[in-house]
Amino acid sequence: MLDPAETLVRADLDDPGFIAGVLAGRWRIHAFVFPRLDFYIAAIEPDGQTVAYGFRGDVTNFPATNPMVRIWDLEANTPLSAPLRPKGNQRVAITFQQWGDDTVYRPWDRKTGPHNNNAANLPHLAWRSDRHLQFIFEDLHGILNLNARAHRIRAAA
Amino acid sequence: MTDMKLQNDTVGLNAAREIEPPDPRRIPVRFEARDLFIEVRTGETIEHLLTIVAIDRGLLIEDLYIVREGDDAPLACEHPIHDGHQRRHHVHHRQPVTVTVNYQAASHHREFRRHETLEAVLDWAIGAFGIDASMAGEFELTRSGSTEELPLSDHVGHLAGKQDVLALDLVRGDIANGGSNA
Repeated sequence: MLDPAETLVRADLDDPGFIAGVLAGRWRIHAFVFPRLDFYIAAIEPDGQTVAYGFRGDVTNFPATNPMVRIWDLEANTPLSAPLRPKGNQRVAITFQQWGDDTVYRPWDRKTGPHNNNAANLPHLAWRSDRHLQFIFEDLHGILNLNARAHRIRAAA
Repeated sequence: MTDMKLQNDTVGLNAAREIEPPDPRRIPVRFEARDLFIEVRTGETIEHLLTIVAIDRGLLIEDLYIVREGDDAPLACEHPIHDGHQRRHHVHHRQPVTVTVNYQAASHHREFRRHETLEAVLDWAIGAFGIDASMAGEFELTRSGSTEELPLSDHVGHLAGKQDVLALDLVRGDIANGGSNA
């Protein structure tokens, strides 16, 4: 019998909106062995190159408990080293910084939320049990593609 | 980091188990910000999807159109679904949407087609408000009066729903406070 949290995670991964992101090449599940969820998110580097970054999530007690997500080298099975982390503006740098718990530094994350009261201060970015995994994937994809916007606007000018 | 192209390996959790597409197939459809699957059989056309949505919502087929995710041109009613069926099909009302974006004390408005993305709105707004390209990554869009940042991949029409107008705020994207770099 599946853990109820695993059932809910699987339902989120089978949601049409989530699958649309997979089919559009915005993200991809690498492996899901509950409670571990490994995935890739597409990104645009400052030089305009398209790449993908790996992540390791923990979805224990989902969705009552926040997912915990770390940027991860899925081939080496280690946290992604600092020099290889995404580059860009301050939002990118802060999100993927190395810090005490070294999770993605966004208020929805299990460790970042309570750190410095981030979840309480930014409730629109905090985790809630009525949110779905797509919220996290959209957020990470948005941050990882901020570099593309400046390229587009410069090109259009 | 990897330079792999996600588009070349686009298997979802369930899709990975499917060697042959099943019949009927589940077609991902989005209408007025609601996602659903509609089952279709081989040989059915775009008109089939339009008919189901129109009947379900009490609308006329001729008032709706469909665009596939990533495409710019609407699909003809007689277009077969099986060609590119895996992509999400966005159903929209036909009339365009007048989008107003507020930033500080100023506003700009422009008409957008319903299948244009919020990313296109944001790109336009950054130019309209004279924001330097180097600052472009700092900004997000919210519904006017809300703080919830909107996913930029979503279509204008889904946010507008039945309305022909949409009011948005251009805001600084929030960042968490702390960690070693802050």
